[in-house]
Amino acid sequence: MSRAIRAKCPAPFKKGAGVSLVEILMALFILAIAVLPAIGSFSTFYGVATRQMEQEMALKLGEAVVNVLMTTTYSELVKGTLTNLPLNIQTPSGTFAGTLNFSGSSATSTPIIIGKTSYIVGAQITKVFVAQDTYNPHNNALEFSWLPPKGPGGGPPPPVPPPVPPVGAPPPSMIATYSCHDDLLCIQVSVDYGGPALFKLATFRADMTR
Amino acid sequence: MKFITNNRRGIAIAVVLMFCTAILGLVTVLVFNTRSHRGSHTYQYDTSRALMAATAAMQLAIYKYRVLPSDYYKIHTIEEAVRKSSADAVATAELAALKTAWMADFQSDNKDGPAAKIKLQLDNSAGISHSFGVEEFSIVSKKGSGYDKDYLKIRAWGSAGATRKVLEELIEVRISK
Repeated sequence: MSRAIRAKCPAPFKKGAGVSLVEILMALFILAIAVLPAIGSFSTFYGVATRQMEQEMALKLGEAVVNVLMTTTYSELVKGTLTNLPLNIQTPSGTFAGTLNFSGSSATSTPIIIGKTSYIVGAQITKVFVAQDTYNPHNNALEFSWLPPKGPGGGPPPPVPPPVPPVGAPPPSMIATYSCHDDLLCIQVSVDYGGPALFKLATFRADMTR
Repeated sequence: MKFITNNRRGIAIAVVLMFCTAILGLVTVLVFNTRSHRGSHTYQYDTSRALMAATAAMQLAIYKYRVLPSDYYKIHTIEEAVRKSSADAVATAELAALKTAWMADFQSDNKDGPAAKIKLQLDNSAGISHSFGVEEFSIVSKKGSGYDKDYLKIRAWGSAGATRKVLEELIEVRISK
C-alpha cells in the first residue's frame, strides 16, 4: 500500500488506533470480576429453584397419599391388615405406579423417582379414640355432648332438679354425652426427599361406614 | 485524524463496563425473583396443613351427624320453626343454646371437647400447632319438581402457622317426614 493510499484510510486501520493489549487485559480483568460471582450466584439460585421444586413435589406426593389413605377401606386401616396399597400418582414426568407397603399400622412406599430426586413416602396410622366397650368402659372413647331439647317438638322436658344439691357434688347439667363405638384414626404422612427435614402432614379420619 | 484516534482509546473498557452493568441488572432481577418465591413454599406447606386440619373438623362433624342424627334433626326442627316465625322467644333462645352445644365438640379451642384431643394428635404428628373448627352446620333444602332434596351443609376451617383455610361440603341426606 502506498503512502498516499494509507493516508486516505479511515482511522481504525491507522497505526495507534483501536484497542491496545493493556486495554484488553483491563477489560478482561473487569469482566472476570463481574462474571465469576454472577456464575456463582446463578448456580446458587439454580440450587434454590431445584430445592423449591423438590419441596413442592414432596408436598403434592404427601397430599396424594393422604387422599389415598382417606379413601381406603376403613376397617383394614383400623385392623392394620393392609399389606400393599397401590399408588397411582400423577407427576409432571407421567403417572407413577408404585405401592405403599404396610407393616401393621405403618407403611413405606417404594422410591418415587422424579427427575434426579428420589422421594420416599411414609405413613403412620394411630388411633386417636378407641371404640367404647359396653362391658368394659374406658375413657379413651370419643364422646359427643349435646343439650337435649325441651321445647315443642324437642322431646320431653328435663327432670326437675332436686331443690338442694348435696355439698361438693357437681351442679346438675343439661348436657348429655354419647360414647362412640368406633375407633377413630389419625393419618400421618411424611415425605423424605433428601432435604434437611421431612414433610409431615396429618389429618383425622372417622368411620363413615355406618 | 489524530483527535479521532485518541477518542477511540478505552472503548473496550467502556463496552465491558456496560456489559457488567447489564449482568448486574440480570443478577439483581434474579435475586429479587428468588426472594419473592422463597416464602411461597412455606405458604403452600401451611396451606396444606390448614386444609388437613379443616378436613379433620369436617370428618368430626359428619361423624357426629352420623351417630346422632335425630338430635340434630330436633335442632333443625326448632330452627325451621324459628325461620317461619312460628316459634316464641323461648324457642329462639333455646335454639341458640342447642346449636352452641352441638358445635362445641368441633372447636379445637374447646379444651374439654374431642376436637382438642385430635388437635393435640395433629400437632404432635405434623410438628406444628393447628387449630380447627366448624363455622356452619345446617341443612339446606332444594326444591325440585315434586320432591325436595336435603343437603347437610358444613363449613369447616383449619389453620396452621399464619394460614387459615375454609372447606365447605354439601352432603345429600334423606329426612323422613
